[in-house]
Amino acid sequence: MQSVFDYFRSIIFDRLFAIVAVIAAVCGALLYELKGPEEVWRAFLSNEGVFLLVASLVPAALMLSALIEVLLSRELVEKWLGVGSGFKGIMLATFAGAFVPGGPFLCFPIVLALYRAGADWAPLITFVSSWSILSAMRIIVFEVPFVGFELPIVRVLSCIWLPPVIGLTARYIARIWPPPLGERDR
Amino acid sequence: MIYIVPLIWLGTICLAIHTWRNHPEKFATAMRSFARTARIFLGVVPMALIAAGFLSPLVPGDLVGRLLGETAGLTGVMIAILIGFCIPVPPPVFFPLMAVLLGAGAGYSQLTALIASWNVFAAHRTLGIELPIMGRYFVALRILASLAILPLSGLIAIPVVEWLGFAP
Repeated sequence: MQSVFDYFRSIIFDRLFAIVAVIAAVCGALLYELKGPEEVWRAFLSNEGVFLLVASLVPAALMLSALIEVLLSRELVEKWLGVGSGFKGIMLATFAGAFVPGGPFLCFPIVLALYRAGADWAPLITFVSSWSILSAMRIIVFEVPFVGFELPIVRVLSCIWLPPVIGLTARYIARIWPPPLGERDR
Repeated sequence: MIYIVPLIWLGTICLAIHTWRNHPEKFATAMRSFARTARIFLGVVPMALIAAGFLSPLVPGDLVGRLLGETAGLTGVMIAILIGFCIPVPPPVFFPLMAVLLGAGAGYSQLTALIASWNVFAAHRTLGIELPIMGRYFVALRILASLAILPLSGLIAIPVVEWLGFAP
């Protein structure tokens, strides 16, 4: 019982929650001043559909991402990214970035390990870009419930080529502007 | 498209049973991590939805339509990239905000550029996590390379939207 209480307390006593709550209060008060109480009530109820979608989709997507995270070993991801900087390496980096779930604290340590081991710029930067732009879990968990299916479809179709091109551009820039000596030994 | 919900549930349940049977200790780790991330959806997300609902009627639709609407073209894409650069908020706050812009008349191609730009620069992540771990050179290289490419994402989205026949 105590742990359930602690769990809910950690939700309320959260910095981001406090900031968003203040923004909600300010917007609500402004809306009340400008347009009256009925408009506030209507705005409050306007999210019914989104609430339903979040409640039905998000628990499954979060659990799926947690399961994939424990099943997918770090070694496997490192193997995918270590294939090299050819066509196959860059395609695998794009794929790995889009489908490896987990936050930045999981992603960057893997990249750092490969970086120190001397991996090429192109696959590493392709992986980071793909992980940030195309991440499938972020699309399912955060994007679809709020903006619907159409925007993510447009976005994935028009951005899928971005990570490899960003990776290759980074390699080109690194040739013109080489890293300072000893950069990889940090 | 709503059929994706039961599909994801089915996949999750199968994977959960598989993990629970074959790797019980990994299953426990996964459930703990699930409980940790679920907190965001019990607290910040509902609150952000309420805030977005209150914000929506206050946003001037004609202004958003003029700056980020489908007619804004290349200028709209560049403005979108600039806006994406200036919003250092995590996803549970960012996507409700996108819903507000979408409701106020922003176009899909402009929002594509905005989200790509936010993804690439995301100051809260880049400065807080990537810079300390990866160092200045890596971050500078990644951002320089992205800067050169980003406007193309929004421009490519314009024919993609036409081809799919979507309209916000």
